[in-house]
Amino acid sequence: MTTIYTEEQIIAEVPGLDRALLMRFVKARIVVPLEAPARPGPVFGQIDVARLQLACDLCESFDLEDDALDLLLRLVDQLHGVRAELHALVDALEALPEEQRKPIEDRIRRRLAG
Amino acid sequence: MDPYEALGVSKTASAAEIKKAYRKIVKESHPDINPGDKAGEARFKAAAAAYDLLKDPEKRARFDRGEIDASGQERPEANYYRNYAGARDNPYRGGQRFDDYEDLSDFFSDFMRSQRGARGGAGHDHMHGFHSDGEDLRYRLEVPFMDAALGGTTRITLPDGSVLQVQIPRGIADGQTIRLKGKGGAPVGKGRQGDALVTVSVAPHKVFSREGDTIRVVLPITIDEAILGGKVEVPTISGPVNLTIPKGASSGQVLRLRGRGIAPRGREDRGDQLVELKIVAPPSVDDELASFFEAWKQKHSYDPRKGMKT
Repeated sequence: MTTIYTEEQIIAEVPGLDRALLMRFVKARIVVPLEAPARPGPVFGQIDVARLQLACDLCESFDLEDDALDLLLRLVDQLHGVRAELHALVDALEALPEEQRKPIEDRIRRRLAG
Repeated sequence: MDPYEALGVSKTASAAEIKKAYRKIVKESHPDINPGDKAGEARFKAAAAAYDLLKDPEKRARFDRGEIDASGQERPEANYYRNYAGARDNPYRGGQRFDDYEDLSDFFSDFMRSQRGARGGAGHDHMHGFHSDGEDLRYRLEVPFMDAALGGTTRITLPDGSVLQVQIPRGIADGQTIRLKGKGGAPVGKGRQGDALVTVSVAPHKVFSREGDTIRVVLPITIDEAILGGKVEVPTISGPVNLTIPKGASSGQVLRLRGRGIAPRGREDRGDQLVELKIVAPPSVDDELASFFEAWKQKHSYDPRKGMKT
């Protein structure tokens, strides 16, 4: 199952992240800690390590405001989501026999050509 | 690699020039923003390490004087967000909504729905000014294993201090999202109240683990139970049941308890529970046991590893 990080652990894990920055990202809902009634405080998951690293990279290089950073991350989420869906579609298509696949590919090509 | 070279700047570049060069590389090559660009990834990695060194005036000066080299600056193993962002259980993306579909794996309804934009969203009503639906607010909740398996209730405390009661539907899995209608952001005009989207993370259990609707346990048994067989009590998510251990059982052998797993939502039939046997030696080996086996192995030796010969 998932690896869990406390606040201290995630600050240690992400280069460039300190407590103030983490609090700022949580307040701006750029990361949402995992509510865990059974634990003493909020915790984070493996995905948050990567997401915070990206947020730190972007924040540091572009001096982004919280809203701009949030917007950017939403777009990144959408980009990767759409890519994952597209991959699934392509995989499914590739699994089809040639005579079924070909007409679909032709149709897609025609639609993309406008 | 020389950090100046990695950023494409001269050794006399100012801090501002260094930042500008790094910014350009982030923009063009950051793997999370430019997925699929393999060469970009290497470029970004080198640039990030170089920037970590050169942005710090003290470290830069020490590097220039030859006191430190560029090594040791590499970021730990590439742990890019893109490795998680596209996953179905990414809580920052819509993900799998538990309550919207009976068929949870229905990718197409999900895809088509987002295509057609089922939700109203913002817009100008012909006569009555501006209306906009409230924002959906995301939460993440760790749920005890048993509540996820059997259903339950819990509460989450919102950032504003208010408390939200959450019904956990039976059979919910890691990464699925519960929609709480009307618990999100406030609307504008005649829009509707947004929803709270609570993405669930199932906490591990000390006895049970779960694969879909199947529950798995590792059941320790004694040597004599393994040899002679017999009935032993085994925990299930709905209380202990008796299980018959076959004569001559081995560690790793898996027995199936039909209908003792998880009943997914909307279905009455439950999954199964798999019980993996694990033979445990007695806490101490007494003389009686040792001498019995000494005598036994003289006449009955066997080779469980004969299939491993290469």
